[in-house]
Parts: sequence; structure tokens; C-alpha cells
Amino acid sequence: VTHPTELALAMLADDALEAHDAVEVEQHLAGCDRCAAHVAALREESQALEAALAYDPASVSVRSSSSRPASVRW
Amino acid sequence: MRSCGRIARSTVTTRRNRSPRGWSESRAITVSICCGGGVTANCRFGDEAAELAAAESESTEGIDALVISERGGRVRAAIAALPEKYRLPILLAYYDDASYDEIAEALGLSRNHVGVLLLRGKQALRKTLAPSEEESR
Repeated sequence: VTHPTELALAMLADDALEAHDAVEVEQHLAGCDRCAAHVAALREESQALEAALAYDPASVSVRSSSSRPASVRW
Repeated sequence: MRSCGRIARSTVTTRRNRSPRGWSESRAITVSICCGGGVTANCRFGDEAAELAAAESESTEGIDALVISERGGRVRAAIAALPEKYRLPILLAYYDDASYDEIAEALGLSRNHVGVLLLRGKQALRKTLAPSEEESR
């Protein structure tokens, strides 16, 4: 059995796969408990991220002072 | 070192329109970022193929690390400590509720590259947040 890539499973969990790819992966999940459980865990993980950020997102800076690459001039 | 080339400055505004709880309803967050062509994006966000290879070779161990990190502050601190190339897509996706297409446009990346960076960022978070052996005893 060839399982979908980790990227395909992660994008499916985020509802970000193109429709025809999503159908293909969904068909695989219907017969593969391991991948189905993995996608469920990925969805739960995304929800945990949203919950953590929704609580107090102001504490996370989008741009840290050290984030600017030295090679890039602004 | 490869030149990043000319950089176009653009401002991306997305709106969080679903906020069941938290600190504000429909708060607009404006992320002022510099993005340009593919060369610039690759300088900032790494090579897509190399990131993908790293993502696919990563163990899925610890996938529940974020879920069991009940202390949201620990998750936010871990996100804040991520390299910018992972932190920006994660914030746009999970705080700003931006779609992959919106993030791709904002950062000058392909849709797949966004997926790879989000995956790599979450893998890094799992490592940071995974309970240590002492904690899990």
C-alpha cells in the first residue's frame, strides 16, 4: 500500500488540498485506519494552535527584532 | 551568498472573521511584510524541495504535543521562538485564519511551499512542546 505523503495528509487536514487530490486521499483514508487517525490528530493539532493563539495572540510578535535577514536590505 | 534581489514592499491585510472567543471580534490584523519574486521568497523561506524532503523524513512522534500542552502560553512562546519562515505562515494560518492561497500570495510563495512551511513549523513545535522524559514519568 502506498500511503499519501505527510504533506498531502497535512494539507487535507487543513482543507487545503485541491479537490481532485482531496478525493484521492479521502479514498485512501476510507481504507487506512493509520492515515485516518493521523489526519484526525493533525486536525486536533490545528485546533489546539488556533485555540492557543486566539487566547492572547498579542503575545506573539509577527516580526521579531532578529527576524530580518542580514542579507536583505529594506 | 545569493542575492535576494530587489524587494517590493507590500502590506497584506487579512481579517479574522470567526472568533468564538478570545480577545477581540473581527479584529483586523495587518501584517506588513516584504515580499517579492520567487528569488526573494526562496531567500527568506528556504528551498521548497529541501524543506519538503526534511518534512517527509520527520518522525510523526509527538503529534499530540500541542494538544496536550494545556498551557497556551507555552505554545505561544514556542511559536514566537520559531524561525520567521515558519512563524509567519503559522500566524497567518492559525491566528489570522488566512487560507493557503492568501498566505501564498502574501509571502510570494507557491501554495505547496506554504503547506511545507506550515508542516515544518508544526514539526518544530512538536519537538519543543513534547514532554521531556522526566515530565512524562
